Amino acid sequence: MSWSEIYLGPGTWIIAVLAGGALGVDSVSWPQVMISRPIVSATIGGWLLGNPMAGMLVGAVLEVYALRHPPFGAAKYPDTGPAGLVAGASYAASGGMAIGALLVAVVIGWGLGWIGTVTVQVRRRVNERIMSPAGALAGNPELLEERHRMAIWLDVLRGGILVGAFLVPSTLAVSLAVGTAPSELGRYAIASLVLGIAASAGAAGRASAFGVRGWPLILVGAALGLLLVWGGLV
Amino acid sequence: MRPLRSDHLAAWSRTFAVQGSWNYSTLVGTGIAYAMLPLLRRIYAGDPVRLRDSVERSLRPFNGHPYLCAMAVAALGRLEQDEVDPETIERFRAALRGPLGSVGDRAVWGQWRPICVLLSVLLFLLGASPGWCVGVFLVLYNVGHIGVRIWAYVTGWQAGLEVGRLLKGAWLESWAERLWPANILLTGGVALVLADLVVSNSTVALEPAALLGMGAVLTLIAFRFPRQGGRVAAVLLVLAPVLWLLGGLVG
Amino acid sequence: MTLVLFRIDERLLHGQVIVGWGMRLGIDYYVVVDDELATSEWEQDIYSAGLAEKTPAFFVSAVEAVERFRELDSRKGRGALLTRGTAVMKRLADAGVLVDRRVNLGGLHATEGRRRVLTYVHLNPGEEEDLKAIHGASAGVTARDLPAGRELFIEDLVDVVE
Repeated sequence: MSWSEIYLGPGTWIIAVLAGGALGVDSVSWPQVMISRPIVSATIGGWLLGNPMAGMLVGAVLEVYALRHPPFGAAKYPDTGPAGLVAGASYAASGGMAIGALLVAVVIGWGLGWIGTVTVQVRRRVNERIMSPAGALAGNPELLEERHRMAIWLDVLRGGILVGAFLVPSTLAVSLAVGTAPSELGRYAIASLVLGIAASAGAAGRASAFGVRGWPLILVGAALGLLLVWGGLV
Repeated sequence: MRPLRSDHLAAWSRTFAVQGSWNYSTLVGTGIAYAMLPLLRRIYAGDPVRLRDSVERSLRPFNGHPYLCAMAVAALGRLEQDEVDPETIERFRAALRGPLGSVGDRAVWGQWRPICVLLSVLLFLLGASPGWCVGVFLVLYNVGHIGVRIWAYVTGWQAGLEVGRLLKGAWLESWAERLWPANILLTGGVALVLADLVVSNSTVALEPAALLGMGAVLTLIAFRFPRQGGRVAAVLLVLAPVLWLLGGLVG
Repeated sequence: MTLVLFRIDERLLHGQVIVGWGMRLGIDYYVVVDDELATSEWEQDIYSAGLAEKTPAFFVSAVEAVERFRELDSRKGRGALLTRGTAVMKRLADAGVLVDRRVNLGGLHATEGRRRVLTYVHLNPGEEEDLKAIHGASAGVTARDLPAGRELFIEDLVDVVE
């Protein structure tokens, strides 16, 4: 597959940017219905480029990684809405078949998620300015409402900008990997992703556990998964 | 004046935007004030001075799980209506921050969201169409999400100062304690099936038994040391395409 | 067993304490020393609402804490003692019960008159004096928000050399 075969027209780009706005604002600001989770955002990205299945595969891998970052207290976590969309769309645009492209798409999704986190923090500082001084806002509730809504729209803008800026470069980067032929090193590449999923699952399992006592359960779960695989159910 | 049903509906629906202006100085405080406004406007109708004072109180720093902030919005509104003195309101706010955060984090972020995500991924791995997987996830998750918001708001308004009694040992906590084993089981299962999918889609020869053994050991180590395990996972994730592309160049 | 954590934190029982410290140290019970809370049932209900059912919290006044210290310190399991500010912890230190215990400074947030020492520690001159006194009458005061965070000795934050 060559670059010329990828079609990402201006119409699709605009829809993706609008979707990026909706996915960006969902995670924290409004309404938190979790369309910003990778399993949804990456699937939407894939669907926009005509291959939701490819998007969802990227989303599934990103989920295993995202699950180990619950937003407890002041913990930092990846901003997976726009990032998932970009990663899912890029992989779908590349044809959604090549394993090399999947590896690149997932890393782009993960990296962009953390770039998104930086933009979330910047926005929180901007909000500090927007929502002050408190005295003026208390004396004028309409102003308070206006500023609060402005802050939410800024988050929409943030998500849109992330997708607008990264969709095309990311699609090009992922498609670069499509043509690469498997090699000896390719075995280690796949093994690296598989072991990465394993390590991430361990850390993610702990995030849901009440203490360390649940460790045998994760192995039991994996054994059940193995039965599904051997049984040909998946 | 007592808030009308429409005021409650307005305040409740505004709780969806409670983190809209989250900032480092008041955290979710400005969002709480934004959501409380429909109630405060009714309670202090025709009294701009008291309205101003109440908004000023509501704007102060607050934190809590966003879904359970609906409880804070309603309970604080109730205290305003009952003309509870400002000092008690401030103490109430200070007390409520802790449990609304820890209960919500544990139950919603710690259990409900991951279990819905994992079920959706499992459906996908079992061959369901993407539309179904996303649909099931969004409907299932949000039945819980919106249910929590309704329960939190109604409880907050009914209980006022006494919310602590209703929050302690609430269904949210007992559900969380019941769900965690299922969450860990699903995490293990989903990871294995997903890894198998990656391996079977790859065009290179791999040794599944060795991968399985190493994967199991790594999973257990990461479970015991999640911070370090997470870092190892991130390194392996980045290493994968680097090795692939390097192989392509060399080969 | 014994009280294994002595912490000054405005927020008392909240996520950082219950999940962050509680899970790491395996805390089985909490002792909250606060005169107002000791007599306010509705506040006790709210503060303890975030705890698991099998983890009790005892709310005692400063006087009671000193009087009952041996009992509170020798309950079954591992305990954590929390105060809202430096003054109450200083009363415990003055009473001599903290001699061989390290005191953790967890969260004192920005208000008028306090200067910023760390992102989560802001102190006014009176609180700095309290900490010096606690430092002298205990095994030391260190600041650390979460177990995974860096432990900073109070000497590095506040000038304790007279």
